[in-house]
Amino acid sequence: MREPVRDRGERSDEDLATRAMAGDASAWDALARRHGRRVVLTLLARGLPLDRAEDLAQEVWMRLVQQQRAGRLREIRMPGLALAQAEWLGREAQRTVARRHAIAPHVALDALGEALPVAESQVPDPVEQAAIREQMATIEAELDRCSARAREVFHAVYDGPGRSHAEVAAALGLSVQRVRQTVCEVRARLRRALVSREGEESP
Amino acid sequence: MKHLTREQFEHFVMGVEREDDEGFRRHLRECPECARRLREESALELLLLEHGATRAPETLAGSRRPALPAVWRVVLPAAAVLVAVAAVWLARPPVESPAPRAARAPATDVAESSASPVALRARPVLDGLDIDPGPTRTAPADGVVPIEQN
Repeated sequence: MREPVRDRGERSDEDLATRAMAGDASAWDALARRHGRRVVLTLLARGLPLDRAEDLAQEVWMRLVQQQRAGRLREIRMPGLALAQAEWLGREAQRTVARRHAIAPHVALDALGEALPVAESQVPDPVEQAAIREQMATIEAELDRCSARAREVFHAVYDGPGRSHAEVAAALGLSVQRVRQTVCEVRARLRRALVSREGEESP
Repeated sequence: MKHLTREQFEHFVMGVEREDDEGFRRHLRECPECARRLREESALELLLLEHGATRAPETLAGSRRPALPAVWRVVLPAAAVLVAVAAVWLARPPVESPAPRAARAPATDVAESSASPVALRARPVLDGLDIDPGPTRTAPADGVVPIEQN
């Protein structure tokens, strides 16, 4: 999973989505490049093995293109649609594995069925939404404790559609190594803060 | 078994290219502990990306110019209208002298205009008020205005 090459001077998600809805293959490619890493991360966060997650990520895009060609997509909102599809495929893959292990453990997991529908929405339940809000608040509070420069680097990397470390380094007049080191330091702080918060919540 | 390092996990989820990609993958297949850590790092990275995505509109909004107070949204257009009316008043044509027209120097429109900066500025206003600005070109039926011939 390599850092996506950002096609700078590039089109917005909305513009690419419009073109993709019209069947423009290059627009689909651009969307997959832009959001592909997040799709794989979504599948990994569900606990799928890396190889399987990457295969399913391909499946996500193939399925979306197929559905668009079949006229079954009402609209394309990225990255939400791709992430919802990834969540759905990941869940189905896990269910299939569990089912086959229960029925016939010797049967290998084959390709997912062609009849799987496209997931069009991803609405977390209220408990999950509340947990996410708390995590966001923790992140925000911990970021406030970081130095202004660290925050600047962090936001440049993560805010909005995201930029590569090389792009951020060029924009801020830093070395790529320095950007990477700063991001890793901030991530470590945020990880500790989130783990600490979870520790406080659990009895 | 030697586990993968935090740096390896971080670089992976951040999309940084790694040298020993195959070794990284092979280890993940064999080590449940590192597979679990990859899951956690992926979840953290997703959270940070989500955090960044929700911040983006605020950042953009913060860079915008503040909106005008309501009173200025009324006063400024009114002032603009007054300025336009004043410009029309100042640019009105001078009263013709009783002297015969032929006695006047054959000055061009440009020469007359250049004598009065106000008139130059006022021309668009005059156009806007539908006062006849003199002969104008009209587009032919095909809608293409021909290049002016000297």
